[in-house]
Amino acid sequence: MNNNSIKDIITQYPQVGEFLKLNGVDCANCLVGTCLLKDILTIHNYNEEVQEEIYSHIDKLISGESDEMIIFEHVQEEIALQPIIKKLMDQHQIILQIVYTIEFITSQKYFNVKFEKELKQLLEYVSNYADKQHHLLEEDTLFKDYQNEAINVMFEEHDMGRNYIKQAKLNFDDEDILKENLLAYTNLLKDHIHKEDTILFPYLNTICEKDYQFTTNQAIEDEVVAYLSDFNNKLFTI
Amino acid sequence: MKQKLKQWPIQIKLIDPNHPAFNENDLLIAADCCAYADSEFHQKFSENTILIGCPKLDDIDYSIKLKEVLTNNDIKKVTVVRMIVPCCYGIENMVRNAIKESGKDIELETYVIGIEGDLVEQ
Repeated sequence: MNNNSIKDIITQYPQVGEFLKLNGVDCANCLVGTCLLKDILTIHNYNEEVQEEIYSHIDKLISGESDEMIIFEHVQEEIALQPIIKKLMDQHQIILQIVYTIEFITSQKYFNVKFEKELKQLLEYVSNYADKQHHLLEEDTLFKDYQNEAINVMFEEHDMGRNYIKQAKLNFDDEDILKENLLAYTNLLKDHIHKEDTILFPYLNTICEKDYQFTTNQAIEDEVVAYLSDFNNKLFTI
Repeated sequence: MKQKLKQWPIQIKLIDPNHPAFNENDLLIAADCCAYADSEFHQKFSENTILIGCPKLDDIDYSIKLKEVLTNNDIKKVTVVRMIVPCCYGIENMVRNAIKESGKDIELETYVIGIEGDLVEQ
């Protein structure tokens, strides 16, 4: 059972999904869901002793021996973030600003005409900053070195995002298709970043022993931040 | 309409993190503009203990005080109501950070109000 994907288990045994959610493991809402049960608790930083207790309780929930929704103790030690993880998490904040700006634009009528120039610029930042700077840095370092099924989900979500943006660019003149792809992208990215910030990166921070030397393109990062700030300020003078 | 305000003050900057109202109700954290933008705001949300702030104009990080509120009180659910303008996501972000920093399993629900006062996302 521990080698089954979490989505399959939750689909077959919804009570397991409810129990895991109660313990802060909200896999039912994941867009991919191919992580294995055996990896899930490790990635969520449960110690081995508590993991055994949780697996034992899941067995009881599945067999019907228990229907009790127990909350297990989850103590997380605070560890200083490694430089690469700190940098990636800081970049998340900038990417989220892009995401929320795109969401605002898509909420407006005739947005692909009214905000054509701004939206095209933001889509370039998605490709050249969020993807080529940020996602590739993740993929070329931590994700390559610590690959497991959970990290495969992150790779898959990066590809899903690239496809939504490709479709958005191809269908820029069709407001409905454009909006559908942009909102699919923003919803994916918000969920993806939340998982990385709260689960995956804290886990990688505890196991990563490599001192990554990395460089980032500070010029494009500064340009994105300045553009978003300028866009925000202009909004209040429209 | 019946008076339903659960506590005073309501500004995040002014509230005492140990105010007794925090242990009696779910918590609602709203951006300043929301109650004026959405004409039904009070009918929809005033069953909660309400805190308000503006992430663009208030020059502070709410997550520090909100972490104290969440840590010191038995709060099961936080609802965030914000405007759709990009600067307003900051209030949601600060609440997310506060929940994370509190180390508690607290449910978060977000409502987003459009600039014409309509509910655009839940």
